[in-house]
Amino acid sequence: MKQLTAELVRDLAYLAGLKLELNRAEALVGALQPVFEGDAAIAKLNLNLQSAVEAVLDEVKNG
Amino acid sequence: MAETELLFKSIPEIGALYRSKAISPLEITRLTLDRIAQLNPSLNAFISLTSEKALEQASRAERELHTGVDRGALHGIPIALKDLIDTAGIRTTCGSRILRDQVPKHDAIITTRLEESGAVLVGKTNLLEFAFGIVHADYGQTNNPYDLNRTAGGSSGGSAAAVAAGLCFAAVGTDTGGSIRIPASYCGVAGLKPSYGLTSLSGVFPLSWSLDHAGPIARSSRDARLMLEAMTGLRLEHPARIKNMRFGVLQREGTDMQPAVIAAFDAAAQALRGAGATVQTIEIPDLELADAALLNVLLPEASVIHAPWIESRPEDYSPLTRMQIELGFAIPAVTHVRAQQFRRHLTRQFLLALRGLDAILSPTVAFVAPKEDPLFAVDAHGVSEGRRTSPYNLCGLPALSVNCGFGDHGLPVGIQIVTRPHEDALALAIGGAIEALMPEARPVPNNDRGIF
Repeated sequence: MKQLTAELVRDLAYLAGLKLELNRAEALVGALQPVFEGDAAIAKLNLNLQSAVEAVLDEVKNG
Repeated sequence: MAETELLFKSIPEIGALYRSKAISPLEITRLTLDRIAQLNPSLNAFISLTSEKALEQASRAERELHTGVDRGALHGIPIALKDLIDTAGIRTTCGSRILRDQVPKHDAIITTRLEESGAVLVGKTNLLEFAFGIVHADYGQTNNPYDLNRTAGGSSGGSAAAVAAGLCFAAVGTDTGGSIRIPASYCGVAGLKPSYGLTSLSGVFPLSWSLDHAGPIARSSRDARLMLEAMTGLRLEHPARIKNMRFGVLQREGTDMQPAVIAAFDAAAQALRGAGATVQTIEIPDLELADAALLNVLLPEASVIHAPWIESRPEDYSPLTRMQIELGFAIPAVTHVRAQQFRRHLTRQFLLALRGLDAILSPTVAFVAPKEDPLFAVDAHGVSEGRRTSPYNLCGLPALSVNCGFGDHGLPVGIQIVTRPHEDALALAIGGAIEALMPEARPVPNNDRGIF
């Protein structure tokens, strides 16, 4: 995985609408690393989902 | 009868005393307010008291009961609301500097329903800032009634501490990753995160719209049920019979588990076996990814809510709340969507497991109340605190914590009971059965570190 940098975090936040000073972005790097590691693990799963709702409703109906 | 003894009675017991005219709602409310005045300085469970309103409501309850108007179990019963639940004309701060002076014009729907049930509101309880995991210095930590040098937990710590300390008979909290159940476990009381959507969140300040739940905290599952019935208008009695029930145990182990918590949990499991239930360990595939999924759902949702203030007045947040809000902006949309998809996947796994079970059991928290609230988004201890509660926020299943014993330093230990969607009545009934099977776990505080 590409190393997270303060500049990257600042740019991500900016694209989402928040202007962060570089020192504040730097403070977030450590907390974000496990977020992206967790996301990478979730991305490897075969979630087999086609609809946000339908798959769960079937289970509730049959459960 | 000693005044303290009265304030620790159950809701039905007090109701019976009202209806036999042995005591009045006004007397109980005055005793409650006196006890709050005596203990709140050391507990810090309340942000605002509503004494005048409480006495008016108690007087009305008394008049009504004497003239045959009976609103039900909560009529004349002192309760409290977490201070992010709107109360018209009464300050609702969200434990924040930003909303320190906010006075809502309208009641939350929960507030209205509880008022219509005749409950007496004694005050608004302390919470972690915006329910987001951090104490704001303007309000301070709510202390644990069992040990004033420890936290009552969060984010609904004020509600849990108030109930545990006899400062009200029940309270409402909110739960986004465990914020009813964690303080309930730490304070030895019953706390229910209901099925998602069962209780109205209209007028309740949000943390994460798809994870938020509002629910009751009380000294027993039965009292929690009565509170939930008033909050929803539903009847939720259930004739749970433990014999032949099937329970699946999850997350009993882990490097984060304190041995005394495991021992208390095992004692509850053994009590259930003794009553004729089957209790066996189960696995849920991919459960270990729930921690990551929760953060990736919660952080961006919270950031959207706080977007205007994080730009205009970031210094008014506590530093760590500010950092958590900033974190959410750095999480890409695809990461958030994948976490939402994971929720569907995880829910399917739980529903498949529950096909062969009546309920799932786990320790509520791996440890007893710590000295301070750990940081859930950035601290391993904080992640561990919510590890056993947050999956049910992701899946929307009802999850109840009740006391099952005592751990290190004589501090309460909670067992969590999880049932299928909208089987909240069953969860509460099982909680009541565990409480009945384990009278030794009934909180009877007696130490020199707390308020008892």
